[in-house]
Amino acid sequence: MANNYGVLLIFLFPVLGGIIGFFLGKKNKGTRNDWIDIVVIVQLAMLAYLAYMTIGKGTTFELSLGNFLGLGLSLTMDVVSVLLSILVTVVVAIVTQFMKESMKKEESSNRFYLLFMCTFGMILGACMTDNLFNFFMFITLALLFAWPLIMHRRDKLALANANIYIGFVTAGMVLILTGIVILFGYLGSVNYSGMYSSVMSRGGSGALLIAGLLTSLGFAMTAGVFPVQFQVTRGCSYGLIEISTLLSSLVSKLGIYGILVIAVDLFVENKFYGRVLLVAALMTAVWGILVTLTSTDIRKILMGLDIATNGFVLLAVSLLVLGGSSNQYSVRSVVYLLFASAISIAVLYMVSLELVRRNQNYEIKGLVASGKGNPLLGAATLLAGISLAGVPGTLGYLGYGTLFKSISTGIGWKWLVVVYIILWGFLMTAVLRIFMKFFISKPDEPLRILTSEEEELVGDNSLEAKGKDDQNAYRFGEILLLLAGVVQVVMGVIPEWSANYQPIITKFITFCNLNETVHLEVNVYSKSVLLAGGIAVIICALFYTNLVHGVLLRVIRNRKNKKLKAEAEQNKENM
Amino acid sequence: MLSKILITVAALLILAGLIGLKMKMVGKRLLFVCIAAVGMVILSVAEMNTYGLVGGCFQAIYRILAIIPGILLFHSICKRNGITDIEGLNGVGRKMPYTYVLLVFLCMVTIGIPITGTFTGIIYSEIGLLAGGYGVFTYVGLIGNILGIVVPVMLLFPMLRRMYFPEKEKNTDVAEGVATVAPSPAKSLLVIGWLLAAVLLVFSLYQQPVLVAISTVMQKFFS
Repeated sequence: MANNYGVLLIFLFPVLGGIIGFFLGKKNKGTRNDWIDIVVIVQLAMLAYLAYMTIGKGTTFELSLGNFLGLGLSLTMDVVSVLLSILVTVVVAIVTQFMKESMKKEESSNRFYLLFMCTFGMILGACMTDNLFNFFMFITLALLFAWPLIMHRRDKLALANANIYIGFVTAGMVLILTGIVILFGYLGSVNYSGMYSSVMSRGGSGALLIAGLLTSLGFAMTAGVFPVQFQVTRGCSYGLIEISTLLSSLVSKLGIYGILVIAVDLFVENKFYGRVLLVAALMTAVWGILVTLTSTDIRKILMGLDIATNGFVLLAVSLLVLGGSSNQYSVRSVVYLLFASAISIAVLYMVSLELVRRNQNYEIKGLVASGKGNPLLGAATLLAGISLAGVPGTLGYLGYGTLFKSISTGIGWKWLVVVYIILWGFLMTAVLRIFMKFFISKPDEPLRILTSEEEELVGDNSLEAKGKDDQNAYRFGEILLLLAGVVQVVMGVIPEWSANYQPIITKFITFCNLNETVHLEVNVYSKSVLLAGGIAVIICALFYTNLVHGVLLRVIRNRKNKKLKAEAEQNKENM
Repeated sequence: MLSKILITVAALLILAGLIGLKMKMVGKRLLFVCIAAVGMVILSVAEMNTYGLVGGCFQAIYRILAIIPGILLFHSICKRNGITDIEGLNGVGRKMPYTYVLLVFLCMVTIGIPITGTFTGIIYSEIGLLAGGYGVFTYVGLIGNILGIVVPVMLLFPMLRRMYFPEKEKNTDVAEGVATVAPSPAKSLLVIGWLLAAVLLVFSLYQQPVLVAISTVMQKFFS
């Protein structure tokens, strides 16, 4: 097909928009914000047109510039890349809406916008390419552009953690680069389809395994996979929420996408690689859940949630490798979970941003009940939460349901079924905790006898969360968040016309080199999946009441106290 | 045999670049960046095959064109502001943002981030190393190549970070956005710097002429 230079516009337009916005913002920040709105809307319109052409008419837009950038630039706009680009643009559209309010008081907001848009452009580039080398190039640039954004406020903690972030970025990128060069030397091509056909014709080898593992390790750093999670943990926990959102809900997913490419193109039915991924996935999910349940800073809580969901997506990728070419459930779960988690986590981040902006507090204690009196925000959080937790009738449920099917029917390991349901229950608990803290819980009452100084502090209402501060509420942003939730519910309710729409899902199956001609009737509302979901809900209820609210602990403590009291009284009587 | 000796020497030179981490003086740090860069070029040339030589030439051209104006700019900034150690760089970039952007670009070319010609050189060098079949020395070279990317990052990024993102408490005038003026480098130096940056940018985006030039020179040498 002839080169279509218009494809360049998709990833260059946000960068150019950011540069123009930078100079507009020097004169008037309002104009800059409007301009960024225009850029995002035009971007969405272009992608909508491309979606119509690729999904509706079956056209593919390609651009291959062999001499550009020394080693060539290859971009393809097919169904998969268009949908990924739309996901990225939607998340950025949501974030930029909230940035209008949150960046008002921020110093050097023009620079922030410029780098933010550059990061956005590079993420789009990574989604559009069909070549591992170009993918590496775009992801590196995205991570480098994000570095100054993490340091934006220049506080000690942010700077220290940004140093660790850039250290891991460098390490990850060097590993990927080395892997790619070995792959290129062995296969002669790092084009996605070229790699697959070359591996199929030549077969595997030690060099291929080493290259694949090195590249996967590099991508694992980007995705926050345990035990090399520091790039995500340090990058998303100390900076502004806006950049944490981009890193969590988009860049870390690109890491998973990179692992997916390696898994489906190089390691078809490779048991060793599949098991390595499986172990990494389980550890990542456990670690992410632990971080979410034990952290008190809202950025860390959401970062943990992101890592936990990445663990689940990685689990689906590992099953894709282990299950072989007939395992279509895994492809679906990867796609559904990637989309559901990216959108839901972005929504949760934005809700947190809104509440943090009003309360000027990142600590969860300071945000308790801060969303009360704001039904729009509450509904948006609820919808995002239920999708992320995998409640029936949502896109997230389709992801968790197909993943369960993949384990129970595709692989058939009973121990994994048990572990999976327990992890699912834990994840639900983590999501429920956030929702309850924001919208249902009451602020902790002081139970112990306070000193006079502490009593003064309690009396001071400045520390209380401001829940009903409706004057500052940003309604349009909240409506957008609600819409994101509604879309996920629609996808969960009528999957055959949305998430499981044959012309779309077939392309993902082809992308993963599975046999698309084997038509699979996917019924995620089957008894077994609903039963698994039900057990997970029960586990969640048990965990929530006992772990989060410590009901069980309190009962044990009360009993112990009674016993001690009785013993003390008896001793007193004896004396 | 010569290849293997040169690969080892180059790897050691790159490794020596790590000593720069101990240096607090700006000039000394930059010196160790140069040592690591020389190591990278020698490593590529030591491969003695087409990929290695092309990679070496690419790296030499781009690194030299970036590092010389970079050093001169750093020297000028330090001299005019009375800065000797990297602590003194705190917040300097905020007072001269456009000069800072130029410095960042030159440092990125020196490091060899993707899209730059230096990066292409590194890739060619790695391919040449794998194609050469130097046994154990292939791994020595690979480790050298990895370190050759990491060392300049470790030496230059902290300086760039300090220049624009100093800790807030320590630099209150900058934090409060008070306009402070610092003597910028000489105008002639800035003009040369920007011109070279433009040349590097154009020939990073479109590297074909550089490749053709290198190939022509190599053909003349080896014919």
